[in-house]
Amino acid sequence: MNDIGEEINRIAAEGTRRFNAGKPRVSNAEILKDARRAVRVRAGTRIGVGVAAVALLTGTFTFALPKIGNRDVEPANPLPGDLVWSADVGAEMWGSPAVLGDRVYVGANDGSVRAFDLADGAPAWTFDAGAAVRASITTDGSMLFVAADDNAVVALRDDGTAPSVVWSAQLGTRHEQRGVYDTFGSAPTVAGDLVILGSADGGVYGLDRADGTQTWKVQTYGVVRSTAAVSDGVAYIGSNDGYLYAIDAATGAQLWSQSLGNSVTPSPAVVGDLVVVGSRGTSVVALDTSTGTVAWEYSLAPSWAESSPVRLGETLVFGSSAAGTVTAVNPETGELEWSSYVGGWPWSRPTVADGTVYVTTAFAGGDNPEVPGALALDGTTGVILWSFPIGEALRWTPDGRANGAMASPTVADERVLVAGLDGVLYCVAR
Amino acid sequence: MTASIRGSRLLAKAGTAAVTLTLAPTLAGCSTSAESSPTPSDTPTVTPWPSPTLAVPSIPEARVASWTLDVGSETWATPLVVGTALYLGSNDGVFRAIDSSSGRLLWEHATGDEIRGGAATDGTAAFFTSEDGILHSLRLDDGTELWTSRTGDPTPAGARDDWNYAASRPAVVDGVVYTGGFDGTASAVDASTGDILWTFDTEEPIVADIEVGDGLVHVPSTSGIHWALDPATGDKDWAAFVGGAETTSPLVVDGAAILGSRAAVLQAYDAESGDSLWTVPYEGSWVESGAVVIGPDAFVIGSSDIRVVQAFRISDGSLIWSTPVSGAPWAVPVVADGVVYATQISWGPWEPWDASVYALNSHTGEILWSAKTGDALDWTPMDNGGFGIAASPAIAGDYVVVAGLDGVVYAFKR
Repeated sequence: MNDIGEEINRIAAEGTRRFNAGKPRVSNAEILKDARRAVRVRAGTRIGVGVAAVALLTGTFTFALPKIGNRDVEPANPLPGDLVWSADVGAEMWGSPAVLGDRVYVGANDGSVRAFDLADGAPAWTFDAGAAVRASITTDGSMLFVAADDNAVVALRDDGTAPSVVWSAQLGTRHEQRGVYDTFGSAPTVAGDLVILGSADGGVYGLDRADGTQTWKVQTYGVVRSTAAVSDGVAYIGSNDGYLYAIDAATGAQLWSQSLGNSVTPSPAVVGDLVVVGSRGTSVVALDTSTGTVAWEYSLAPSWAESSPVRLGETLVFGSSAAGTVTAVNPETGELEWSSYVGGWPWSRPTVADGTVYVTTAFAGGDNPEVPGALALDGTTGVILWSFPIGEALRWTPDGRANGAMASPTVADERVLVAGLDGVLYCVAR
Repeated sequence: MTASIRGSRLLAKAGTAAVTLTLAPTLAGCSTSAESSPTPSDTPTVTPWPSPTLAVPSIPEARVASWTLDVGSETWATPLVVGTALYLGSNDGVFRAIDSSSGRLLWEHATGDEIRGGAATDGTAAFFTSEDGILHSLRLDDGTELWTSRTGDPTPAGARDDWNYAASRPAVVDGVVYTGGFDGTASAVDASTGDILWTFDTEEPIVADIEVGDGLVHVPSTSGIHWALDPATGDKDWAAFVGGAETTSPLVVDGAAILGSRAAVLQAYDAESGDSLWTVPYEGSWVESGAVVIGPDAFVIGSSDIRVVQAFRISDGSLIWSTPVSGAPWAVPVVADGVVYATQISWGPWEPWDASVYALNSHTGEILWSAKTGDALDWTPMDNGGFGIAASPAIAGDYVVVAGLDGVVYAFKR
C-alpha cells in the first residue's frame, strides 16, 4: 500500500473510532453550526464541542462527520441531513430514484416499480416489472425506462393513478445467476431518438425511444452492468469482459475498445477529450475519446475503482470500494484535488448539485463498523457536511451483514432522495 | 496443394509429438467420404508464434472447495447451469440436478447407459445423449421424462479407447435439438416431441459438441472433416478437411469458425464459405480444446501435450498470451468477469498432479488461483493413471463448478 493509502487508513481508523464513540444526540442546530465551521476551516484543525461532530483536516485528506441526520422525527423545518419523509418499499433497492414532475419513481429487488409523491412520499402506484429492478430508472421527460433482471426493458408513462406500458423489449435471453458482488444493472441512457443500455446477455443495445425497436446491437463478451455515457454522438460503456467500448450512438458501429484488465462495472464520464472510467482493476483511467489511448490513471489500489466519476466544476469526483474514499481529481491530469474518507464501500456515482457532493456508501461486512449510508461533502474541500443513517440491508450479506445504500442519490430541488438497502426510500433535506 | 497432401504433412508433424498419443481415424475416414469431400482450400496462412515453455507455473493460491457432492461415478460431461441449479450426467447413467449454492441433490434420473456428454437446454428441458444412442428430454424443474428419441446406434463395447472418452453435447436453437452420436449420425430433433427431422451421416464418431452459428449447424467429426449443415434440411452447406480428428467444440464468431483438432493445428475458416482464413501450428500437440471469446477480437483455448492455455486474435490467429499449466487443458475454458477458468487432465508421465482447475486473468493470462481435484475412478490411459477434469467448468453465481473424473462435483468461490 502506498503512503496515501496508509494515510487514508490512519485517518479512517481514527475517524471511525470517534464516530462510534460519540453517538449521543445533540441538537441539529449545534451540529450544523459545527459543520459550517468545518467547511471554513483548513488544514490541521479539529473541531468538536463534545459532540459526535469530528472534523479532521490533514492536508488534502479530510475526515469529518459534523452532523448525523435526524431520521427519527420528521421535522417541520428540516435542516440539511434531516429526514423529510420516508417510504417503506420492503425490498432492497440498488438503482437510483428518478424524478419527473412532482413524483419520484424507484425500482426494487422484488420487481416492483413504485411512484411516490415527491412532496410527502405518499404512494401513488406500484407496477410489477416481473423481475428484480436493479438498474436506475431513467426518464426522457415524459417516459420512464425500466430495465429488469430478466433482460426486459419497459417504457412506462405515468397516467396519474397507474402507469401505462408504452413499449417493452427483450434484450437477449441469457439469465445470469447473480453473484454477491454482481449487484447493479445497466440503466437506459436517452440519446436522441434512441435509448442505449447493456444487458446480461453481453449485448449493448440501441433501441428506438418511441417504440423500443432494436436499432443496433454490439456484442461484448461479459455481462454488461455499466451504464452508457453518450457524448458527441458516441456511446461509451463498460463490460464485465474488462473492456471499455466506444460505439457510434446512431449506427452501433464499434469505434474502439480498450482493455482495462478487469470488469468494467462502473459507468464512464466524458470530460472534454477524455472518457474517464473505473473498473475492478484498481484504477480510475482516462482514455482519449477518439482512440481509447490511456491519458492518465489514478490508483486506488488495492481497492476496486467501483464508482463512476462525475464532473464537478474543474474537478472529477468518484467513490471507490474498500478504500472507503471519495476523491476529486483534476480531469485533465488525474492529479489529486482532495480525498475524503466516508467509510464502507462508496460504490455509487456521486451526485453533485450547487457545489455539494452527495454520496452513498454501504457497510462492508466482517469487522467493519456500520456506516451512515448517505453523506454530503463540500465539493471544494471534501469536508463532510452531514451524514444520514440508513438501516440494515434486507438480503444482501457480502460478509455476514450489511447496511447503507448503494444507489446514487438523486437531487430534486432542496431534497435528496436515497434508496436504501434497508428497503426504505428516504427524502432528506439538503 | 491438395487436401490429402496437406493433411499428410500435418499428420506427419503430429506424429513427431514427443508424447505418444494415438491419433484417431483420420485419412481412412476421409477417403471413404470422397464423394462429399470438400474442395481443397488455398494454402493456409501459417502464423509463427513463440514456443511456450513447459515450466510448471508457481501457483499463487490453492483454492478449497466451498461445497462438494460425491456422485460416485466418473464424469466426462460439462455441467449445465440454469438459474440456481446445475445439471449433470455421469458414467453411471444417472442425470442429476444439483442446487448450485449448496451442492444438495435436487432430483436424479437413471437412464439405460453411460452419459458422457453435456446437456443443452431450451429453458424448459435438458437434452442429452446416453451411450445407448438415446437422446433424452427431461424437465428441468422436476426431472420428468418428456420423451426419448433413438438418434443413433448404441456405442459398441470396447469402441471407446483411452483417448476416445467424451460424447457430444447437443445444441438447441428455435425448438430444434441438433445432436451427434458415436455412430457418426448427426440429427435434428423436434425439441417438443422428439421426432427426428433429418439425419446426416458423417461416417466416423462424433464426440465433440455440436454448435449452431451464423445460421449453420457445425458438426465436428473424428473423420477429419468438419461439416457445416443447413439447419432446416441437414444438407451440407460447406465442409472442410481439417486434417485430424475433431474432438472439441467449434466456435463461430465474427464470421469465422475456429476449429481445434488432433491435426496439431488451430484453424479458422470463413463461417459462410468454408474458406481457410488462418492456421496456427500447435507444436505437435493436439488442439484438444475449443475456443471461447474473451473480448473484442480475442479468444482463449487450451491444448494437450504442450500444456498451455493461450489467447489469440480472432482476426489473424496472432498470439496474445500463453500460460503454461501443469497438465493438459483439454476442455473448452469458460470466461466470466474477465477471468478464464480452465480445467486439465493429467496422467502418469506428468505427475505430480498439483492442480486441475485454474483461474487466469483473461487480459494477461496471469494465474489467479488454482485448485485440485482427485484421481480418475476408471480412466487409466496406457495403464498409467488418470487425474483431473476432462469437462469444462460452469459458472453458477459466485461459484465455478467442475465435475471431476474422481466422481465428485466441486464448487469453488470465484
